[in-house]
Amino acid sequence: MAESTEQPLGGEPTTARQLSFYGQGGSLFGIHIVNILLAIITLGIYYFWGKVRVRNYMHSQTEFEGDRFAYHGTGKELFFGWLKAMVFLIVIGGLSFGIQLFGKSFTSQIIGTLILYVGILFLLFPVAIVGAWRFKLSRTSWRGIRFSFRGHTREFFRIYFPGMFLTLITLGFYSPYFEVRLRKFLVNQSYFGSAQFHFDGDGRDLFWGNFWAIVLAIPTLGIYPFWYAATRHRYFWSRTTFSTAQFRSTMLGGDLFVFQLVNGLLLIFTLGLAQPWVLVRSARFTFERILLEGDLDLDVIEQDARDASATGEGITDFLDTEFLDIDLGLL
Amino acid sequence: MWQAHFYDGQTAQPHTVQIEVLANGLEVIFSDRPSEIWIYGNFRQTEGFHSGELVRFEKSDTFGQALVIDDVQILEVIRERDSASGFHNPRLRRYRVPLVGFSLVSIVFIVWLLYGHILPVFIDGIAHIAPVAWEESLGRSVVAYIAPKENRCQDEIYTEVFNEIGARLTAPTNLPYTFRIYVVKNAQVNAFALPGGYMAITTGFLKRVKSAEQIAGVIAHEMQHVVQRHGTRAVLREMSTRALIAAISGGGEGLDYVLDGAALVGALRFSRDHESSADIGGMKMILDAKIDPKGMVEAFEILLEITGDMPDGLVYASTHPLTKNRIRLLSPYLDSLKVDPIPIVSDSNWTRFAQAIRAGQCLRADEQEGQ
Repeated sequence: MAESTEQPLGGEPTTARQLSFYGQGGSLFGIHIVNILLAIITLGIYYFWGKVRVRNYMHSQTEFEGDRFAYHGTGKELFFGWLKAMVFLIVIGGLSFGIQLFGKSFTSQIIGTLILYVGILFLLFPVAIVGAWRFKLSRTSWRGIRFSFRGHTREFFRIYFPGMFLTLITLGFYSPYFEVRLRKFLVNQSYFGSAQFHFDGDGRDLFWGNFWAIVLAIPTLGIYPFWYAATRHRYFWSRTTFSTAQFRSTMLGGDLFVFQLVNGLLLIFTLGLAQPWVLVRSARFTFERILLEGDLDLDVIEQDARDASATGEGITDFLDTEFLDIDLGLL
Repeated sequence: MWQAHFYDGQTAQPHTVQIEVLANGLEVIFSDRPSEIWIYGNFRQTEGFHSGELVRFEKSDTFGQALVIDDVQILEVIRERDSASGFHNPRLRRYRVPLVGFSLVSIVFIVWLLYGHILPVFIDGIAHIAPVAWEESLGRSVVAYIAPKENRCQDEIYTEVFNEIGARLTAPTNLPYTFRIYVVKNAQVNAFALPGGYMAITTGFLKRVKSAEQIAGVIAHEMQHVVQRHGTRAVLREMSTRALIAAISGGGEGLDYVLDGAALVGALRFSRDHESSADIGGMKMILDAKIDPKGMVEAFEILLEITGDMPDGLVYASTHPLTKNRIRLLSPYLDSLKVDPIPIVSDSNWTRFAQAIRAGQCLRADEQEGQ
């Protein structure tokens, strides 16, 4: 599985590199169960340390070019990140409920509700997206070299505010432009050591796909959007490069649909107990469908790690850890 | 001698090295430069705790330097040379399956203990100290759904009779609640109480009763649900269940669902213990108010009769089970009123009330405003 046998249409065969995943659902299940017990006994505090154990396992079972990935996050970091987010939520929530409770008029109800939604959607989410991405990369290494993210949260706000706003008022039809801009910002500032990732796309290319996904979602009982999701996956990766090599995704709508359907059924019929197996299936499914093609000289890549909290961004540093489990779908 | 991958923390180039386990550390032997020693205590094991995982050592002081060995046996050899090294012991892995089994059993046991035994005690404590204002806001938020304004009958005679019943029942007591009783136009035979003192009784029920004393019996029972805070307890319990589900499914979006008052009270069911307790408490109210206790028992007999042949009665019967037992529970009180009972409403008022009910009269709020 390490080397793909697929060949590009016409031309010479190039080496296609791929991630391999060796994790077993059974081992992960054992980790999960012990984590849950310890989390209950410690009134939830162990949850963060348990999360680190799961990530350690997932990273250490992921291989690229014969070497495994490593995770470097700690339970303490995750715990404090969560505490910070809670402080923010309590302040915003308290403000919102306070206004609704004391000013009993209709306007104050509206203002109170707005504060909550605007606070979460326009402040917490963008900070969380960047913070989580920065944290995830800076805590991941391969062959001893760390990944890093060097974008500024301030700049992210400039993309996020108008993008989110336009997506909301166009009922989602604007979202391809927003997604492409977000991805550009997040990917182009991502590094492995000294080597940079690059993404270049245009929202226009996905506009009609997204359009039909929204329009046909209900008539096709939610099935059609899977095909668009696969198209988008292929598009995103086909426009993504790392150093001198080019990514390619082979994801197909039908595969994705069956995969998600089986995941859903597994979770429902085991009351969520199958979650570790779903995690393993997901890693395999994704890694099998992403190829990195072309010449790539890994040996010249040098360590150039930036600490997640050393980006000199003032106030947003405060929230620069991962405190929400936001899956960006970037990997 | 063990083969390993060494990462220098500087470049992404892996180095294949040999490792010799010594008494004080690991000797890392390079092919192209002098070997170095990793002293125990200066490096830690970060991976290699599970089958299929490679053993990974990372230097504590030098960023990025790591050794990866694909044979877990090295840990046992290190243990032989330096038993204090504190690395993972692969021999303990055989205890993992029993450990997971033990954890599973423990989780089930703890959840059962918490949910079935500790939580109810805790919730009763909270329900006991919950401010009446909070209970009222809870009841208010729900009464609009369960007894919508457009279904409430606000005829003067209904208001008068229920005011008299309410006043009689609460006169001997000193309760922090303001009871609001709504007559709801509905063919079902039903009566219910919400936290904070909101109550509703259906016209379907009123059609079947033959005296104000019978109505008072039902009202006294519902008042006891309010006073004993059964609804508040049920709501708190439902909230904790939902919080648990939200926590397990791991979603912050569950918060709305946890706090959705309407759905909470909609899911409200009283336990049989609560019902019996409300029956006895209600009967005591009736006696204290010097109301004929026969009325309450008759009200239950009406229910029994309905549950026998009327599908309408099922609603009330399903939440108020075992009507026969309830009648048996209350019969000892029938003779305990030592003075003559005082009628609640005048005969003329009762006749007007009964006629209005039979005729299906129901003056809605909007109609009243128009007059």
